[in-house]
Amino acid sequence: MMDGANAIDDIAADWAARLDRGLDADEQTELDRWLSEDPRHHGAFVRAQAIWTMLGCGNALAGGSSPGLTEGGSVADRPNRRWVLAAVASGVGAIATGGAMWLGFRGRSPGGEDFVTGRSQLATLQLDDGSKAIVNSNSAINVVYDSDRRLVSLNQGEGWFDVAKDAARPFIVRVNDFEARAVGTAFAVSRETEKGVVTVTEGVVEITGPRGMIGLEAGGRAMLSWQEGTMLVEALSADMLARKLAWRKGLVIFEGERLVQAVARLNEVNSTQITVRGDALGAKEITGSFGLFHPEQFAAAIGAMFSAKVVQNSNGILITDGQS
Amino acid sequence: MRDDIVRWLMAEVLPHEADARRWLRRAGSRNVEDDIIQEAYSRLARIENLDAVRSGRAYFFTTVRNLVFERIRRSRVVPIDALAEIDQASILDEAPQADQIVAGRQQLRLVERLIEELPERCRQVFTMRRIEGLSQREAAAALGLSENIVEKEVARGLRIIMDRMAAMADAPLIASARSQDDGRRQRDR
Repeated sequence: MMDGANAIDDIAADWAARLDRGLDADEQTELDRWLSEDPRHHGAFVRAQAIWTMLGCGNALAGGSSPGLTEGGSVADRPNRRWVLAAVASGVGAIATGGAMWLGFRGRSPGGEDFVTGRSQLATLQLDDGSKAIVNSNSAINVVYDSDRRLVSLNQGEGWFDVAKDAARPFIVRVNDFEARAVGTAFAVSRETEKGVVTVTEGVVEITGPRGMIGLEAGGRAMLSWQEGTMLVEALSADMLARKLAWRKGLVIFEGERLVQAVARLNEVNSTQITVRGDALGAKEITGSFGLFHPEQFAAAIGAMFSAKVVQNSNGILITDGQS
Repeated sequence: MRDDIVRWLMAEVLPHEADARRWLRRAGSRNVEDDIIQEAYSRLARIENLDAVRSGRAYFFTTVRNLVFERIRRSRVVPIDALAEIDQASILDEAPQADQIVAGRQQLRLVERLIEELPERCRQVFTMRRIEGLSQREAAAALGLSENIVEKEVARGLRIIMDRMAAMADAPLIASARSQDDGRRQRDR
């Protein structure tokens, strides 16, 4: 196998060299045929091209401009661009109210029990069997308990489930064509337009999809593709896990996101909408933890950190750089 | 081949290849290391929407890991221990690695080193073609060689450097920067 890969690299290097001076029609046909024969051919060829491109960037880098390789700037000015917001006291204080508030809808129907949350809401639910669920804002779940299983359908949004042990009745969260199954464990499931995400915080979860089954352990995350039916598994660092699930405490943790992205995240879950005016301001990098459901506190913190002007009126909150 | 993909592979994937190879070795996949790396590049090159990929490193490692799992599954002997070990040896970490900017400067030094180490005629060709930016024809004229020879030298040198990049898993040419970790510590203060 090693020799195979080596021989492939030989041919890939030849093609990369030929492509660089330009191919005639026959060569192009020959190359296309070779590439389509084996994914390793294709992979070796794009790798050869990437390395060839990298070698050409030495010139650009030395000259000061650096297409593709860097975002510009030197090492020294990095800390200045990356603003570090320590946990803002007011933002953290927000947890209690954000977490406890639930104005959502809860109702029983023949099809089980429905829980629906709106914007700026977080629901903590004690389920009949002692399991606990935290439902994120803009979410909808349906719970049906039978003698042989506990079934939760995630119809919208995101939920985290701390499952009470009951070997006879597995706890199943159904999202699109996938089912995440646990006996006693804790995990989160979210549903988005094109994909779903299962994140395990404790124990093991078994996920069944249209194309097979996997076991996911604590710290693991699986991306479920609605279209492909596939699952992409990765392990998250403890840091990342805490970040991803901070919403359970009504918090959001940013780590170098641009202000516009951070604002989009808050706008997604709150009715009070924040608008940022000024490209330079919007590009500032935000790091720190904030109350997810308190856009006004977030805006105030941004104003303080970047000397930006914050105006709140009935239309929402406007943040502008002081100049304009 | 899409230009943006090649650039992205260069900037976001290539710098992490040595780490991925080291992980493959720890996970007991040394014998198929090159095949898996080649297949991973092929998959990454087929990504439709690059903007949706938040971390090239994480995507790369996840792809590598999935390829290993697929191989284990295909072999039909499912050694549970092997799977557990793979998890243990996991280097999958979504935390963004060394600063792009630091990587860029290092890459410049790396490029210089890689070209310096080539056999003499190869080195001349690469210096002209990649550092000075001459075309194949111009380089051939400057060196008094046929274009065909210049092309052969390009292929030969590129092949050597491809191996050299893979061998960085044994011993990096340049110590890797961990500026991200420093940043994190700063914040924790």
